[in-house]
Amino acid sequence: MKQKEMFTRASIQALMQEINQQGNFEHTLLTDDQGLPIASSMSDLDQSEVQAALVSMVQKMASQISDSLQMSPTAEFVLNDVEGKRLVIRPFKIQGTEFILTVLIANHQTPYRRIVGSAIKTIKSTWVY
Amino acid sequence: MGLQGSLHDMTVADIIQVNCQDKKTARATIHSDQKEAVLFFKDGNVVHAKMGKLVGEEVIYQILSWDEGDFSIDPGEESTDISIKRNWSGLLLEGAKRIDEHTSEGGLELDLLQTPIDQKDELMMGLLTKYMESISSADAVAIVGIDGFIKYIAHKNLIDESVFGATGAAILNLGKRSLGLLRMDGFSRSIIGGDNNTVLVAMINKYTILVAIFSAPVQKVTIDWNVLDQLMGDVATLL
Repeated sequence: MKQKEMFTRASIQALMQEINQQGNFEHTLLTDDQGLPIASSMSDLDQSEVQAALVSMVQKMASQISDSLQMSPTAEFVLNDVEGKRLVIRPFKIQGTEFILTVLIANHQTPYRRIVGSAIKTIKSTWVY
Repeated sequence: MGLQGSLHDMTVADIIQVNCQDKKTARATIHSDQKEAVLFFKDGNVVHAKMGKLVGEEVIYQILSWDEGDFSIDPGEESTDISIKRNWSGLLLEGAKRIDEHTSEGGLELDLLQTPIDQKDELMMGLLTKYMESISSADAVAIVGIDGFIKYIAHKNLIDESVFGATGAAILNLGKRSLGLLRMDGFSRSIIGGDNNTVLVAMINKYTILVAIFSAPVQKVTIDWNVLDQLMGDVATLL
């Protein structure tokens, strides 16, 4: 079981790299609901941990805002800065546990939705507890 | 060193809003047509206002329609008198209401004074309505102050305006803070997409945002960014 889990984590790590390359993203990060990084396209682990914590916090605040507007649960949160960079936060659930896939895109015109959607499907199908 | 400027660049409402939101202690001296009004700000509110013999809230209501003149702001200047208890957003709301009432009564002087503002309002509403109608899923489009106070709104369905404005301001603050923490540049726009609806918040200028709500999931909302940029440019010009 332990060996299978390690293999799964390694394959998800590889998936992050693949998504990043395919989508021409700057950074791809998978986070758990506690704000801890699970896999990242970045080699700098410390930086990934900081970003994971921040993304989780941002996602929680976005959810609170959705609630205040009586919206359905947040499916996507997108932030654009004045330089045209785009941060896309996509929460999703596997067996009731929430995860967050985040991509940082250098150019806001770069399409991302299909790649991110397909990546989430792959994560869901390969994830093993 | 105080700030000086023209009412063309910063309206009386802007002066009040900026000083109150920044919780400044300051004195603003505003001149228009040989009249002088002095306002004092403290702890996020206008605490005192005088113009000749007139003192208190009435001063604010009279000067809100001034669009010609100049102003200076002296930081740190405090008033010993307190003549205003109403909070600043309440003052602006009451002022806007009085301007509307006077205009509909047909007072000649106020009609003349308000003509450009009326035209501006009409143009603004035209822009928002046109944009809203160009996107079938759009429920409402509004121009909102960074405090959540709605300046203009066009909507198809009944919505709670106070929640709508406050939510726009909350998304703006969340966006600004998040981008700052992530060491990205200044906030430009944000989208929160739910399974059934989507909210867009975009920065128009330092003090104003555009908020739009769509009754469709984010994947089904098609936003033409060039059209939106054009709309925001037009709105910024009118503001």
